[in-house]
Amino acid sequence: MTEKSDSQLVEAAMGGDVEAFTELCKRYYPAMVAIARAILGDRHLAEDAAQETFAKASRNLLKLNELDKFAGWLTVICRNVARDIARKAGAGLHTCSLAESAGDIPAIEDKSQQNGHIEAVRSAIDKLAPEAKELIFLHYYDGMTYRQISAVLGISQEAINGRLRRAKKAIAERLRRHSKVEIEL
Amino acid sequence: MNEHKNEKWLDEIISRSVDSGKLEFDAEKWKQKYPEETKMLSELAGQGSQTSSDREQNIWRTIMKSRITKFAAAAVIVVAVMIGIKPFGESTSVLAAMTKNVEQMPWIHTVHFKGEHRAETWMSGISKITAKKWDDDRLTFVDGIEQREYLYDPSQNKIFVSSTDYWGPDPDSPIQLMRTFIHRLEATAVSINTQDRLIDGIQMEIIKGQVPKGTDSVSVELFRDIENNLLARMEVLFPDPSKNILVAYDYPETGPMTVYDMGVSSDVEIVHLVAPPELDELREKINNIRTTDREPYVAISIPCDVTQLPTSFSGERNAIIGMWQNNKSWRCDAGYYGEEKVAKLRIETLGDNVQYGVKSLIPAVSDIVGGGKTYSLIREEWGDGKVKQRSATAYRGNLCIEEVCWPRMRGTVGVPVNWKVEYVTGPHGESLILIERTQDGRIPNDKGLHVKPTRQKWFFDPARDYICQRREKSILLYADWVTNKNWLKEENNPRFKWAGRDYEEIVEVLEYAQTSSGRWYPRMLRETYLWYDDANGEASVDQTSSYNTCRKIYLEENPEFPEGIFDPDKLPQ
Repeated sequence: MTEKSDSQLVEAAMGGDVEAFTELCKRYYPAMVAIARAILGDRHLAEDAAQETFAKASRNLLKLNELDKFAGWLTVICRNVARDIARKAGAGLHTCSLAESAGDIPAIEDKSQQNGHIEAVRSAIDKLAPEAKELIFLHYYDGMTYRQISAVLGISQEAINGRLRRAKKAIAERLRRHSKVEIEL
Repeated sequence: MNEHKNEKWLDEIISRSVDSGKLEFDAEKWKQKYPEETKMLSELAGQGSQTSSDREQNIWRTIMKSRITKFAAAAVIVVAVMIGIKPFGESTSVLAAMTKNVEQMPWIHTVHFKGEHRAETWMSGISKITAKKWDDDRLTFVDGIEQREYLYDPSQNKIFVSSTDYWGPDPDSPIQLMRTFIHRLEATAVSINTQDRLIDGIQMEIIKGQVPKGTDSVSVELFRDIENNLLARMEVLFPDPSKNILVAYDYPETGPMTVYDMGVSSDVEIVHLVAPPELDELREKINNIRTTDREPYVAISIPCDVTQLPTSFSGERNAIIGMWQNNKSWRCDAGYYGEEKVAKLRIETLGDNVQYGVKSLIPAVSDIVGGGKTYSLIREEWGDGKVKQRSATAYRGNLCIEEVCWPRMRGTVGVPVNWKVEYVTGPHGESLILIERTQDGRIPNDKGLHVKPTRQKWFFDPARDYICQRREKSILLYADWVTNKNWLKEENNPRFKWAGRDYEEIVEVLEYAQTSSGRWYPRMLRETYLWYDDANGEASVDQTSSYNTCRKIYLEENPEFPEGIFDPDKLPQ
């Protein structure tokens, strides 16, 4: 069976089809978690932010004018929700950096050298510009393709490729400086 | 000893670093957590689904509520009527469609003659590549994705690799020449005729017009491939034949993907002038601030102090009001040209020049930053009471707050460039980031392009949304930052003369303000210009060679415009 397009699902949701809306949520949940995590650092907070994003989207669904831009619209909401969470918590919330949230990460090879590299990569990702960090999460967190990322971020696949390359170069540079690993890119 | 790894290894280790396992949305839990939203969604069924046309009508009604939009709509209708009765009206839409077709081609290849000089170019909007081969065998290759510029200089047999964050058509590019002369034809042609002819088996429409230029006129001739609606050839004939331009266009399936594809030997020495690594991040950050979270503001800028303006200054002298709203740019300029007062109203719709323009200048809604490619409807009222109305394709010049706040950092393509990033203290003790870009001049020979040594400095304030607190530009023949002085040996070359006088300019923010959402913008700017009388390095600071002006920016988040704002008599004096 052919998968329904975003526009078809949004149109159905606007007509009161709750299941169509939850289908959209399923489709974009990993991406929204990735985007929120790039801002918040913490996976659990990011999942909360993604759920809140869908709640906010459901309340404002009729304001969406271009149905095929649903993913981009959702992304903007998600960024705002994540920033709100960070802002509301203020000083009380120390938004967790990737390096600090190591507990979230599934078990990795029990090799001290590998762990050292992973720590260096996490630290490098933390230092990336927010938009580069967002791309890294989208691409590596849930294995989204350039095409999928392009729909979510509203930028061309060429731009995604370019930005990812630069982000990877920055990470490689940090690995070279801190872990003495030369990476041929 | 260092470990050596490849890209695959890096991909794997990044995946491991961010991986948190499979993420799945639990719809039932979400419904339980958000019962009101779930109910609200299901109740939409009772309301019936809004159709697209319903939504469009709602938007249209919202837009039409605005008084200023009604004014715009009226002006559009008036101008549309004017276009309709022009004999060239039909061709205008054909040319607009042709321009769009050309811009969307995967590759554009041209052979371009200007006077006796020849250049060959390739351009791809999809691959973000521009490449140019000059007739002295220099090559430039710009990769907009990698943000690298490669310049092959045969006299040194070296490739210079520089960083660039700009990819797009330069003023002499075939795309830009096409746009410029089509615009001139549309906007100012005094007579136009068309004829069809079979050339090399292709049915062509030849569109010919005379475009005024000073007291003379320039002849513009376009050869349009009717079947494909693509430009095949353009000829621009000036009174001085040495300025004539001829461009032949064709549209191959592919083009050069590296500088080596243009014939450079792979063993040529490479000189890296690539910017420090933090520059890429900084530029991306600044680009991002410029292009995201745009809000529907309207900015009004009025020069509040014009002093020492040289008598020869030809720009608008008194009032400039720039307003950007609902994807339209509004400008009302008033000035004195000679003894005559001139008022111009421009209503400019931001175009969708996605492929070849600068993407960052295309907002979903207009805002404090605005800017970009425009399709213009221009109404002019001259001092003699005559009214001219016309349609045109144009770029908006003048003040663009986007450029003031978060400028694109770029320079001349084809000249080696050095970049520097420093952390400095600002005039009020604030921490600023200084990005400095310097480039040597280019040896002026009879074939090559003449470029003077240029230094640009941008001071960004990280505490205020990375707004550019100050920018400086210096174009000096005998600059101290020039590393290669060989080109000065040819200072008697007549090309120095038309390279213009040396000058320096400084734009600095004197006051800041914030929008209600916390976004910073400049409240007051000071612009200072200093022209050097001669190319001997000594500045003359008399009134004819320098001036400064302050510009105040008013930002309206919920704007209402007074009646008659475009009435020349009511403009700020």
